[in-house]
Formats: sequence, C-alpha cells, structure tokens
Amino acid sequence: MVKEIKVEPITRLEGHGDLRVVIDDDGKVKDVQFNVTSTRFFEKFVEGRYCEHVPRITPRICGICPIPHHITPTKAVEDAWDVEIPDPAYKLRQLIMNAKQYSSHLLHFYALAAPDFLVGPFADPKLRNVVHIINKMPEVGKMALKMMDFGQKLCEEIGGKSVHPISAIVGGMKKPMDESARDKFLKKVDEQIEFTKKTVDIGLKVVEDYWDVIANIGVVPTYYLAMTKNGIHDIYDGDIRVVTPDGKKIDHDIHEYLDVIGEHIPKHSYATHTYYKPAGYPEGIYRTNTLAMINAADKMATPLAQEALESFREKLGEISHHTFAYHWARLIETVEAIENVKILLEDPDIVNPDCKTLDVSPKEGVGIGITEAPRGSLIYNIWSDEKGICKKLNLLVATNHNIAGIEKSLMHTAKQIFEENALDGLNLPDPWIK
Amino acid sequence: MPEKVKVAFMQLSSCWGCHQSLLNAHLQLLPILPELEIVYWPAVVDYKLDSLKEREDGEIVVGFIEGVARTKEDTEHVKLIRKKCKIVVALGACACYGSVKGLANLYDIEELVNRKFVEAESITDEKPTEPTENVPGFEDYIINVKNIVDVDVFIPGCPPRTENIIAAIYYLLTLVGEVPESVNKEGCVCDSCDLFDEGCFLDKGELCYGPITAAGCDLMCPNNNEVCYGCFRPTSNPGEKAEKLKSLIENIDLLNEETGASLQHFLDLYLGVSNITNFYFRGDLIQRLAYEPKSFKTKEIETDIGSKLVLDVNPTGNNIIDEIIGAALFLLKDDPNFKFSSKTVCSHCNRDVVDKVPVELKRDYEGLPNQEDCFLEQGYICLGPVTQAGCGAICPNNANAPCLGCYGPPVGIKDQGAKFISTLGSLTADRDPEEVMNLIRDPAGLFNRFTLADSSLGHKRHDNFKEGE
Repeated sequence: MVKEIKVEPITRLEGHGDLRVVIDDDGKVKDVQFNVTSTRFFEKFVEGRYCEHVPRITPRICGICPIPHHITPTKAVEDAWDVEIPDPAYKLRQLIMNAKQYSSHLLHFYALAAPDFLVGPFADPKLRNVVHIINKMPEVGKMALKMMDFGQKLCEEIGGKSVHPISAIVGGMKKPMDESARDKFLKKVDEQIEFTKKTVDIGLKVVEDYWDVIANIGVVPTYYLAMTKNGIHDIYDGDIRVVTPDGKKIDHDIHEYLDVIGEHIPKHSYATHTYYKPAGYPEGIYRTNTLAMINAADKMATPLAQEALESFREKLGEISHHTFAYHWARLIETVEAIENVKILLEDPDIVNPDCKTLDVSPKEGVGIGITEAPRGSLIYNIWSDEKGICKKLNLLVATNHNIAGIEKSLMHTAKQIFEENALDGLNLPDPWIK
Repeated sequence: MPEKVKVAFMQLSSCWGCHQSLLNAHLQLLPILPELEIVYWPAVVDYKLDSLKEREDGEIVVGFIEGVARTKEDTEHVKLIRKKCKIVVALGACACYGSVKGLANLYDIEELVNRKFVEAESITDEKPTEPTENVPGFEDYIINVKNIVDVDVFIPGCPPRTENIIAAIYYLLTLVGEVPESVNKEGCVCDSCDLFDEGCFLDKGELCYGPITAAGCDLMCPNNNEVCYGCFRPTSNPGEKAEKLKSLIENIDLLNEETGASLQHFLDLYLGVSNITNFYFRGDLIQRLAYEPKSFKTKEIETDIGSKLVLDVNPTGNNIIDEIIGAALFLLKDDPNFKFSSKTVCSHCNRDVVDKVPVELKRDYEGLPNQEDCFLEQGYICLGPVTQAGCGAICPNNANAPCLGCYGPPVGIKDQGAKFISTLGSLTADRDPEEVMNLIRDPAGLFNRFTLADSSLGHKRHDNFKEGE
C-alpha cells in the first residue's frame, strides 16, 4: 500500500511549509515534497511606489532578518541612480548587518535547532522547545537571551527599530551612532565575545555527541551559492561565488546574476526552485546559507573566526556536504559577527555625522543589490523610472534559494531512513536534558 | 501554583516580526513564561495543526493572530483559532489593517500571480504556471481578519513595540483571574479606610469608588483626602456603602463637567486598558462607548426614585457593580464632554514644532533632516499627526526618520490616508497644488501603506465576508 507521511506544518521554522513523503508498496520512496504554502507578492505591489520607499516596505518580507531586507534594496536603488555613499554610512550598515547576523544566528542555534540536540530528536514533542531548555538549563538559557538581546538592541540603536528598521536611506544613513550609545555597547562587547566562545564550546560538544549523525545522515553533494568580497567572507558587500559539488570555486559579478541563477516554478510550492543556470535543472540545484558561505570563503575576515574555520575544515574537509554541519558553520559566522561588531564599534567613523551624501537624484536605470542575509544570499534587482518610481522588481530571497536544496536533501534522507533503515544502530548520545 | 493559561499563536501570511518583537523582551520573558502553556506556536514549539483541531472549542484562553489572510488556508486558520479561543487578539498591523501586504489589493490576483510565477526575469521554464498541487490557493484580495471573525483585542504596530505586547499579555492574564498577589479581591478598599466611620466622601455625597474596588492598596488616596478611583479593579465582595454609591449615581439627572470627568476617570482605571497600553479592546467599555456607542443595549432598573434607564452591561458578573457601571456609562453616553482621548505620535515626539507648515516640500532622499525640528516643517512627509500613539515616536525621536504610520489611525478615524490628505491639504493651502501633487505621486503607498486593505480604497469588496451576514 502506498503510504503518505505528512508533516503539517513543519515546526521551529519561520515561514509556512508542509512536508510530504510518499512511500510505495515496495518500500521505496516515491516522492518527497516540501510545500511552501504562502507567498505575499512583494515583487508586484512595490511597483508604483517611490524607489526610496521600497526599503521601508520590503523589511516586512522577514521579521527575523528585516535588516538585510532594508539594506539590500537601498543598495539596489543606489546602483540604479549611481549614488556613492560616504564611508561612515558603509560602516554603519556593516555594523547593523553584523548585529543582525549575531542575534539571528543565535536565535536559530538556541531556539530553533538546539532542542533537537539537547532534548534529543526522539523526545516528547511537548518538551522539544526553547522554553524547556530555559527551564532545565537556566544559566545557558539566560546567556542565550542576553546574547540575542545585545544583537537586537544594537540593531535598534542603529536602525531605529530592530524589527523593520528605518535608518538607511538612498545616499547613506539617517544618522550616525550616538557616542553615549556607542560607549554603552563597547562596554558590553567583550562579555559577548566570551559568551560566544561558550556557545561554540556547546556547539562542539554537540558535534562530538552527534558525530555519527553528522557524518552519515543527509550528506548530499550539491552546488553552493554564496557572497564573498574577493574571496573573503563578507555579509554586506561582495559578489556571487558558486562552489561546484567537487569544490571548484567560480566567481561572478553580481550584475551577471541572471546568467548564474535560474528559477524553476514547481507544481507544489509557492517558493520557487533556484538552480545554477550553466548546470541546468535539477543538476544545478544549489544550497545557500551558512554552509555555502563557509564552503565558498577562502578565509574569514576576523582572527577567531578564521581559527574556527580551520578546525571545521580539519574535521570536514575543504568542502563539506554535511547538512548537519550547517549548525557548525553558523557558529563560525557568529564568531565573525561579534568580532566585526567590536572592530566597528571601535571605529571613529561610527559616530561620524558625515553619513549621508547630498548628491542624490533619481534617474531612469536598473540597479542590483546583494547582501548575505542570515539564511542566504539576498538579491534585489530594481527598475527605476526618471522620477524615481519603481517600475519593476525582481527578488531572489535568501530562504527561497534553499528550497530546491532542502527538498533534495529531504529526498536523500528519506531514502536513507525508509529504504536503508539508517536510523537503526545510529549512535546517539544520552539527552543533555530530559 | 495556579493553573497555567493556555495560549496559542497563529501565523497567517506574515513576516513573524510581531513574534520577534515579543521575543525581544528576552529576559523579561522569564517571569511570564511559567504562567503560560503554549499549545500552538509552530515557529517555537512542535505541536502540529491536528493537535489544535483536536482541542475543545473555547479551551484556549488567548489566541494571538499575526498576519493577513492571503491564502485560503489563512482564512481557515482564522476561523479555527476563533473557535478554539475565548479571546482573539489581532497582533500587529497585518492582523489589524492588512499592513503593507494590503497594498496587494491595488492589483488583481492574476497580475500578482503572473509577476511572481510567470514574468519574473529569472524564471527559465518555457511555460511556467501557478503552483496548484498541495498548496492552498490564494484569496482574490487581502481580507482583514476582523472581516472574517470577531476580534476582541487589536494591538497595532508594524511590529507592535515589545512593551505593548508584554503589557497586553499581563492585562489579559488579569482578565482571566491571574491577578497580582497584592490584590485582594475578597475585600474592598473601605475595609481598612480610616474615613469609613467618620463621615467619608460618600457620606458627604461625593463619588468614591472604594466600596466596589478590590483591597490591598496602601490607601494612599483616602489618606491624602482624595477619593478612590478604583485602580485595583473590581472586588468580588462589594462593601456595604456600594448601595450609597449606586444611589448617588442613579440620582444624577444632569451630568456636570466635574462629575462626568470623575465617572470617566473611574471607568478608565477600573475596567479600561488604555491606561496600560495602546490597543483597542472591545471589552474596554469606555473605548467601546466612544467608538461603537450604538452597540450597547439599554435596560430599565428599579431605583429608590423610580425606574431608570442604564446600559445593559455585565463586565464583572456582580449585579450591583454592573448596574453602577451601566448607570455611569448611560450618563456618559450623552455627555458632550465625554471624549476618549486617543493620542497621536506627535504627542510623544520630542521635535520642536510651531505650526507644522512646511517651508518647502521634499522627497525622503533629499538633503538630511536635522534632528531638532518637526519633519513636516522641514518639508518631509510624516504621518505622525494621523497615527495612533503607542510606539513612543521612536522613528522621529531615535532614528531621524519620519513616521510611516505603522500604528494605524487614532481610534475613531476610519481612513488614515484620507485623514492625512486633509491634513496635508490644510498645511499646504497657500501653495501651488502642482508642487504638492508632484511630491505625492503615490498617495496610496505613502499614506495608506499600512491600512490600505482597511481603507475606503481597499475594503469595499469584502464588507460582508463573515459567514451568515
């Protein structure tokens, strides 16, 4: 008998998705669908809006990562109107991006992912959540909350609001950081670096405990798509780098993105399937997000993160296809984020009022902006008319880049579980908390 | 330990920003979490949809709805959460007014679908079509949650400030009996009031609400020779002087300004939420009286001076208290001085303001505004004057950015955009209309950015969406 396993909805995920696994009567996995069940058509309803207001609408695409959705369209409009921003604005944007990266990655690690590992993948679903972790490991829980709080408060300080910021404007930023606020965050940043080291230790212990899972379940060769700045890990500025399944790195100018990325419209998901165009679909299915960034980077931008990258590669190789290594990769990026925060807070430009150029005027043009959002590369392609009204927008949103890759990993893993019984005999640790 | 309060968080098509704003409370969450039993919150806990469907109707105390009804599944989820929850909260601008997603109502669904699934530049399929397998299908337009089911509480904002959400949760906990420990609902303020035996306010014919107010305060008001206005909220055991209070109110024929103010202040503190946070709560009778006066029924009661009309309400379930409140509301209903003071963002803005009249008009990218003067006076579009207060004016105060209007119109204003056009019209009356028009080529996007789906432009087609209407 054909059996359908349905997960509705997929939980501990921001967004809307269901999972369907169809198993044939001979026990073979016939179909796996990752159904993304909602979309809101931002790409259409920004048409007719003022270009400078598009970045005050699009943050609402994602409440966890509104900062890249504020900064990236601003960069796209600046590209369309040929606007150069002053250095202090560049640094303020780097700072808010890194503050967001920090809090978002920690939210992901502690609230979305950790319950699977700390409580255990087969624990009672009632207990498999961050509230239970806070109850059972109050010290770790408090530390996690303090870390997210630091990142979100810093976003709020620079962005005006941490959720749906308003401070970036075509031509720069609305204001620099206040000196008193800068001092307040500087005072706390060393403690945050210590917290991050402790978090990495927790992560490495999880890696050790779950090594059998990491090394054997969901190891899926795919392409990877990421952003680097001349090969160095960067989340604010750079170009596209594609990594092939065998580890070859290919760089593309962001303005060539339409030659690099193709979109296939699946029958069963409102999120599209993106792929590496030269390789075709489905062969060219790629993944983005933390593992892609770590696979793509020649090196990290900061010293502690570089050390963390080296130990990652020592264990998993120059290129890793281990889906579970996404979490480890996320921690490496978290380390870089907090180091960057410190470097930028110490930079006098952060309080420099010269953060907005007055030389801004609308013109007809096409602009492209890219950043690396916490869940993947984020691309805005905007068309402006001569009055600065948005004629058209093409959007490649971070999470969307991963949908095809996620479905491919799910198919691979479903076969492992249902056809090869890979869960039997898997070496799992005792749960940290019960 | 008292039983935990069951809560559910439903996410429709949305960005999760309202939930992130709640989580931004971080350490402040620690005292609240133990009070709650989260029975549904897909992004945080592992309960699936079936477990929500299996619950008894009305079993869950509070259901928070974030987002808009974009898909047919969203609409079903709104109905489901209404069925399972006693109190339904529209959390955030989407659930209140549609937020920016309401701008989609400027287009037909076919145009929206085509842009995303057919025309997008990166699509490579030869004949791409809208996905239809195992996906829910789209509503033709964004439907406001309140047009699908009755909503009890509206918390506006995109997102609502963390403190607004936390205050609302605390308030909702007190509604279901989770009162702070210091409040003693078994007694009333009169129990230990020094004035009780020596000719108190009520004995002298002044309105004092002590007999119907829960005990536990330090009697600061009567000790300072001021009446009690009921800030500890209803008691379960009214004192003997409650009859006196009732008869004083029933004997008022014509409300003078001072007495009207006393009744309003009392109702605000005793039952209201506006003194706690900024959201529209239908159960807050004083707000409801201001905005939906026709929704009340009247009833006749017998008094010592004959039969009298009062409003038929039962917020406490205690007969004498409910009649006192009904009588007070009846008096306020026709009082010309009665006004629920809904503030705007301007009232919390620190910028210097003379008359809000702009010197010259600017687009947002032009120049760099100074951090001292009113944005409108500097020539930048700022929706502060037509936006409900509650955010603390953070955009103008902290980010040097004009208000975009995300808290929606002040309660009582139907259309935020229309209101702003009239405001702008009067501020720029002596200007060349051409110059003004040039600045506002996108009035819907600029003035109804968060409220289009609930405005005169965007709601007509689904006025009668609710079942049975």
